[in-house]
Amino acid sequence: MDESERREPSYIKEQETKADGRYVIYYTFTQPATESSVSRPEQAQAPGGEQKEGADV
Amino acid sequence: MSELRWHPVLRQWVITATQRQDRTFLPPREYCPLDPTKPGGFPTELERPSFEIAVFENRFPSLRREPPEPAIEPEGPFDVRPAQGVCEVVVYTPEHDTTLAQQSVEHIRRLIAVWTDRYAELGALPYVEYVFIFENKGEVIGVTLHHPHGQIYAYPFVPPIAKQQLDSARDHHSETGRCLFCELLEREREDGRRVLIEDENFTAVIPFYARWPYEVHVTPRRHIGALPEMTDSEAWSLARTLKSILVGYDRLFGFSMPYILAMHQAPTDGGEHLYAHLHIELYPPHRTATKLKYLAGSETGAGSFINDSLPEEKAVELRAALPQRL
Repeated sequence: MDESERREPSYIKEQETKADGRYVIYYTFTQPATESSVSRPEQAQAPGGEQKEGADV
Repeated sequence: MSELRWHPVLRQWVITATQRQDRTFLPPREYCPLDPTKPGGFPTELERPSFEIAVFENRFPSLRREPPEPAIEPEGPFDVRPAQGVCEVVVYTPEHDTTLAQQSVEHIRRLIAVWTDRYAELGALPYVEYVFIFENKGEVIGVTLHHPHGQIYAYPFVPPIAKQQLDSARDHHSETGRCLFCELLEREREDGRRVLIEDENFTAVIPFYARWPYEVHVTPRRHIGALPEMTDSEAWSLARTLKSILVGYDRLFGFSMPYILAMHQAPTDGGEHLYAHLHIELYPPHRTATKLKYLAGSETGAGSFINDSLPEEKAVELRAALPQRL
């Protein structure tokens, strides 16, 4: 994924007032957030550490 | 009734909020107040049939935008003030049976956008000195609603732990000219034994001085005081790092790990806090799969934590449980 594919999430923010005067805010995201080109975090290597069976999560 | 009562011995405010005794406590699944309101169903806090992320003012707040006057007059050392502030609930998703760890990286990135917005908006209120974003997860932590959610307390003062951290950072900065958190992170990265995961923007470690067995600190590599200073790239890194740690927690013992998530940022009291450094601290209460660490005599009575484990060994365990792919 290159730089041009980065997507900062943009949203519509709608605020409503409840009967008791409290507010509620709904955030609706207007475009799908897309992962940036930042490399994925790497696990640090240390002696004695065995990786459990990897799983997609 | 809620008010701030000054603790003259510990020199900190205690929030007295008696109405919280009546808050909803572990309701049946079908009466979750954080679910979307179903057509014809009972009205929840969220009156829409669906939403992505929602924030609302807590029905049982410790702090209020327009608080009542204290029920008692201040007298001598017994100072009292109105409990002015804001308590918000952040509902992560309309789905009830899920967790933050199970959300996609993309959704956690959206949540970070919401957290950023709330920090800026609440921090701009003239009476708010500190915006504290946190999550309590799991009944052993004291959660009263299982629906995945976090909270935000916008305090009219800098709370004690944040103040202690900021005082240490200020002193270190004035003594060395360096940011304490930048230096700690640098030392952890040089040592490496307690580093769990990192990319070019964020590092997660079980710190040298961990008080809880699986305590994790997630810290940006760049000196950033608060969420609004993050770049988009850094926010994505935070989303990925946070997801990795939360998934790792769940894989560690094979069940959904309870934890406290606490985010520390620069105060919003109008001061210049150049030494503040954004970071997230996570405290799972488990010391083994079946045993909890309790805050007992030494911790609660004396404020001195006893960690029954070595951070270097716990880092090996937790690192092995982290997912290889997200």
